[in-house]
Amino acid sequence: MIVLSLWGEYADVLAKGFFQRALIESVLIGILCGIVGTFVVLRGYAFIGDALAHATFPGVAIAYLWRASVLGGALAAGFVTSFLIGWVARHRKVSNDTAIGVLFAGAFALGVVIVSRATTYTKDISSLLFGDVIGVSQRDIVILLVTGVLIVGTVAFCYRDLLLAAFDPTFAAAIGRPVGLIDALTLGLLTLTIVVGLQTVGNILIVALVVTPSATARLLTDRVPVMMLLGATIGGLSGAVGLLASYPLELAPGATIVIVATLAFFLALALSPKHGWLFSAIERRRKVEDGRRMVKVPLTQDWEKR
Amino acid sequence: MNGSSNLEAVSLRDLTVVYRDVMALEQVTVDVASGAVTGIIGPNGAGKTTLLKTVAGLHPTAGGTIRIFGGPVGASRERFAYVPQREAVDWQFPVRVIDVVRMGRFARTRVGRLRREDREIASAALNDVGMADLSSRQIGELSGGQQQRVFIARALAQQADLLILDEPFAGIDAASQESIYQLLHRLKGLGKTVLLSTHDLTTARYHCDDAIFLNRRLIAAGPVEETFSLETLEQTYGGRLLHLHGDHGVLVR
Repeated sequence: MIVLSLWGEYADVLAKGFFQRALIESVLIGILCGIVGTFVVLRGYAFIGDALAHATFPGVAIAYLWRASVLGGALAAGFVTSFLIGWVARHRKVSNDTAIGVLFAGAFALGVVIVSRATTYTKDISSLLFGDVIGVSQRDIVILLVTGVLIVGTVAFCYRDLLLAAFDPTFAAAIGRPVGLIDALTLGLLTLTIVVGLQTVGNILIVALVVTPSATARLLTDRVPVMMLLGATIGGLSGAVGLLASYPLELAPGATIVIVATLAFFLALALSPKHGWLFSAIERRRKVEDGRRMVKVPLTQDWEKR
Repeated sequence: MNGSSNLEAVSLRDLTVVYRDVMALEQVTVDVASGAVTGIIGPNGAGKTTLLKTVAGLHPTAGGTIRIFGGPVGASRERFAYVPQREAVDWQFPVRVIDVVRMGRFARTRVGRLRREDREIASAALNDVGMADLSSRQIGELSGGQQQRVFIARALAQQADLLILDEPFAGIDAASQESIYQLLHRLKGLGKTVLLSTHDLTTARYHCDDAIFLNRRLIAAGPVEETFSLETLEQTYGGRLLHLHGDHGVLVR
């Protein structure tokens, strides 16, 4: 009886507009992250992605305090910080990742300081840092949809260039492709994805949503188009399962989505037919046994023949 | 010295390249004959890779001129194919052998599906290097020699007249090296020009038609029979030469 009444309560929530909007938002951002994440994983941009996500925070904070567009603020802060990273890294004694490390932490701290001026500090900062998917409006979904179509369209249109620049940039340059521009495009798409995803899982966890589903997909296939498709599927499913599980378990939705994606990753790591622990172990054992069987062949005779 | 002559696949005049404030190449003037296999020979840091990259338009010049089949590099992109060093690429990348070869067609078909013709050209190129049966393998499962063949197939798919190969034999066993040289000579028979860099003197002596000895400056260039002299080698390698006379040529330390 208790179970039934709990289910009834759950079903009531599922029917509510705010929850359905949250569900749509989570699934869409999961799909989008899976697609863009493919190139993030293939290029080893996880750290840069994390940096970009943190770097958007002062923009988010200012926009929040001024009641301006959070997306606009995040984008502006992301681009300003990227530009600063490029500028600082030009100094001979500052390497690229040092510049990223210094600036993203600095930008992030600036964001925290700005928010700490607000009166409702604790509440605000947690919804900004960890996302507020339950508070998604219809307008947010429309923005996500439009941005998503734009991003996916760009990826489809520039697929060859994105692939070439990731696999073999020297070759890409030799056939006359603008590799620097393609790199900038990759980072631009990543920034845009991060910014539209902030609402769902927040600044700190968004990088997980960009990286983890695609990393999981990478374990399951050896083909880029399949990896994109799988990444999008895993991302979308993580969004749905995470959100649906978070309500009855009374967990933070954004973090639950990331946990589900992380569990999927470990599942793939253990069970992937091609690259997983389990099947590799079986394969190794089989090889050892083959080896043993081969040892049983009378070696001495073989040598004597020679 | 006639720059528009088609006898020279590559023609360098006073080529000077500066790389990270260091003079990497200094006033190199040399011609690469078309329809030959030419090896660029020199010690590490001699500027072999820099020279090839500059010819392929991947490095700016600080002085001098480069002509490819009589034209400037930018206008000749479709006439040469550049094959980077094997280690420049992550071989765990999730692509199959045929996918890499098809990249050779990307220069001409940039968006949309590859045309059937492009796919056929790629398959034929893979067949030409003797790898047709490994077409759907993941590239990480290949041996070093096979990986190099895939790269050469991609260059063939570009249908270029000049193949530029940067250290194609690095990390490849002797047998594979031998068979890749054979492949390159077969391609020469089909009218291709091959320009490669190597630090393996012995095999270069036996398998290249022409040699360019380089150590930041041009030391010597011409047919191997004429250029492979103790004097040239000593000039190229400085005091680091350990020579053992005999049928197998020279060893370099």
